[in-house]
Amino acid sequence: MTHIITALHAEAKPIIRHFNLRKLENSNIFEAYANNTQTITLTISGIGKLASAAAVIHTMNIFQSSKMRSWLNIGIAGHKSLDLGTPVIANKIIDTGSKQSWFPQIVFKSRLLNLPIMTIDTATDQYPDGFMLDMESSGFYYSACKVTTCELVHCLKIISDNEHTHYQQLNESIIQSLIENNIEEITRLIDSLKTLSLEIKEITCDENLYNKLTSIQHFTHSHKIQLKKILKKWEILFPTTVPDMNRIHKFKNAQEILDYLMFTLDKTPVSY
Amino acid sequence: MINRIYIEKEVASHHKTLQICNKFSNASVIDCDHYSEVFNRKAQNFRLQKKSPGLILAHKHKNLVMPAPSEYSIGGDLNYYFSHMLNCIYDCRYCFLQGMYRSANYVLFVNYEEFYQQIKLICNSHADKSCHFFSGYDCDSLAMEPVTGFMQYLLPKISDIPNLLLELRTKSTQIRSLLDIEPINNCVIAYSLLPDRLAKALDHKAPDISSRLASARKLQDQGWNIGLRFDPLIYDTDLEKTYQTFFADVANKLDIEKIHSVSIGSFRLPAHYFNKLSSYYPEDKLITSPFEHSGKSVSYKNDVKKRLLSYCYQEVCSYYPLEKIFPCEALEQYI
Repeated sequence: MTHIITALHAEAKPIIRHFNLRKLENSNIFEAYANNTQTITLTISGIGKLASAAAVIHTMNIFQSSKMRSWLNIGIAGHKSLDLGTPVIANKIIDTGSKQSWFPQIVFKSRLLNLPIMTIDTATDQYPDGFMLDMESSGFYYSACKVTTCELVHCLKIISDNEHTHYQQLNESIIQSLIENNIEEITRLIDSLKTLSLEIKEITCDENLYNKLTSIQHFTHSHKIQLKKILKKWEILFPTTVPDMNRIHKFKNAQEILDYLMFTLDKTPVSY
Repeated sequence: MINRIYIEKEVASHHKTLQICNKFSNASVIDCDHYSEVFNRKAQNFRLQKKSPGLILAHKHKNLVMPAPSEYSIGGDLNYYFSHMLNCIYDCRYCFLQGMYRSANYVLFVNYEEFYQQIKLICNSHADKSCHFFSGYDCDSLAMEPVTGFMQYLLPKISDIPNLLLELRTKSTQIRSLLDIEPINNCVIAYSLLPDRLAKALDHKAPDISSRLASARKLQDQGWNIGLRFDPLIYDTDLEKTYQTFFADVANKLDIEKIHSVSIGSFRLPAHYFNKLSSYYPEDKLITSPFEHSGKSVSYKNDVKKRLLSYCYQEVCSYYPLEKIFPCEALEQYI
């Protein structure tokens, strides 16, 4: 799943259209959208780093986000000399207010240009050399990295203004076109992040077996965590065999079940 | 290979920085104030970063050379270790680096001169003692040599320090820079080895065992001291058969009379490193091994450890003289 945060409606519209996102009825603080399967969500934060940070937390709450999900801040940014419409991924984020820096880790293959970005508090037409300028990235990145691992958090910016065409000349339709024209790049980036997020492994086990065992005896929370780990090992060592349920039914408590399973696993040498 | 290079402002114009940036002219160059801003950050995933690690060029200010843990000894009076690099290009499943560091990015400290000065200073201040220095604790000593040129810089300088011995721990076949120079007597190239089948399953991205042995043999034939590091030993079905064949193969391919030293130890990790490893790779067979927590560390259960260590120790003793064998952990209770 990918959570997208945009500052403006105009930035959101082409993405909502392309991914066929629907507005959520119950999201009344920030406007939020999702596709049918909730594999792509989009939240409109409004302008500024605080708004963006708050939108991340809001999104996390309404979609019950897990560590395996990726986060994307998509929006427009200024740059002294780059052509309008150039898509750029941020490789360093500097918050000009706090002077803090972050370093997004681009560990997937990407043909996108990557550059540092400065998040500023007020719009300007003074463009520093070598940096993009925006008003959200630092707040977004700071907040999203509290929710997941930094390799899955990125800021994709489309250059909307430069020293020849200042930001005052932007309007809703220009912004929409800038995003619309880069929808393929956006899709590619979402796909890359999706593939990457699959590398994060959660400890999962055979749910049927887990439910069966936990219905036989009372398992405390800690017992349940242990059981999941043990069943995961069981799956690896005995992919086609289930534990002896007749024997398990004779045990008096959860600990005895766990001990039996562990004993069976430990006496089985691992074969590489 | 490297798609992003982070450069501490302090080393931006260092000759090594410029040289390395030239080698990776397509990489994005990103400046930082201190390497820890990138490397030590929370919310990083070692496993994900291992897919495409970046390179951080930095200056090491203190603790350039540190006292080595006691079990690291191969007979020296004083033991030290140093790391001109943090992290490794290989991805060995049992490696403690993935538990120790949050980031899989490589850090290269470019102030090589200061490493040398520190080593020289220690040797001079303990002139009456043998000082052993271990490289390859936080990285493979040779794997990145074509990029770093660190050993090419260091080895000629330390060759005439009489009370020094330098161990280069490696799995690498990048030995060109060693073959190009005269062998240095006070240097040991120490190869980490595992039975081939286990290495294939666990030593991801590392050269296979026959290539490692071929490199060791080439170096040995040229006159370099070769050490053998059977650490960590990994428990496996048919361990006796597996390890018997393995030790015989190693002895067969090298001149065992000339082996400098052999060390041996079973898989063990600090518990919190092991927990991280299990969370990164819950599906890996290594994690399913019969381990137990003992104090702050995780190792094989006693009976397994005894079987593994006693068998392997006896086998090793059948090929090499006792005075050349150095256990990496207390073996008394297991052999």
